[in-house]
Amino acid sequence: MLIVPFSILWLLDVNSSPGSLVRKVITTLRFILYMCGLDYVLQEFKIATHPESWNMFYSIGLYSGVTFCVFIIKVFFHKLFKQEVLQK
Amino acid sequence: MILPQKFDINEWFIITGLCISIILMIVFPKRFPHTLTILILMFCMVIPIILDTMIATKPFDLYNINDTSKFEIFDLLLWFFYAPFGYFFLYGFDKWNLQRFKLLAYIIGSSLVAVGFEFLTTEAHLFTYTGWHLFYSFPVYLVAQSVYITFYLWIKNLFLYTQPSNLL
Repeated sequence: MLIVPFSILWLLDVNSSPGSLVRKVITTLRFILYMCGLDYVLQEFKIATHPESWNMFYSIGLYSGVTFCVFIIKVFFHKLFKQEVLQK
Repeated sequence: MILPQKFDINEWFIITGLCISIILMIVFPKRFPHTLTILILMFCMVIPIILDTMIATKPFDLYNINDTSKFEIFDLLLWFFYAPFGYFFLYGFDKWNLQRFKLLAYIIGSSLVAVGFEFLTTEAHLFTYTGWHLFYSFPVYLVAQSVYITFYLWIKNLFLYTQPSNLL
């Protein structure tokens, strides 16, 4: 559930960065890093448990995938929102 | 994710309830724009999930959902069952344009209905209380439904006052 506010913050950050692709990429990498860090902390405090074979690379893959999905949803949602705002 | 231990009344309750609520959502006249509908459904799903995750798991562990305390496939389906309740609650709020005392009465009334429905779910063994009581749910519904209304008013204003020129 913690990923929801983090995703929103990431989207706001990406949206507000003034057009620079490099800055958007850095923001995205930072988001993935934060999520992996959070995952690690949750593991250390035994709040979340992964299988024994789990390692940090899986987390990086997982959160990269999540970021990609959030981005696709954002693009779709933005188009729909724009369309409906124009129609109102 | 594990399968249910026994396919009995709680599984049928979720399947039937989910089908009825989806049909009702299709049959009822469209009231909100698609984007608002998506946000309402997601929000009304996420709030109970957060509450369930907080209350029904360790260290509190006040109730079990479905057959076991472990996460099973029908727990996932139950998440989708939460969303239409919030949708219809906001549908009524928007349709009757409730304000002040009428709004208060509406929130109290719908919280009582929600408690009544929760009683049915406990009878169907969807929830098995280990430290929770049905009466505790009433203030939770009051707060949750007030949060739904606040969220709805916020996104509605955002939609109404967004100018096309402001969108990238």
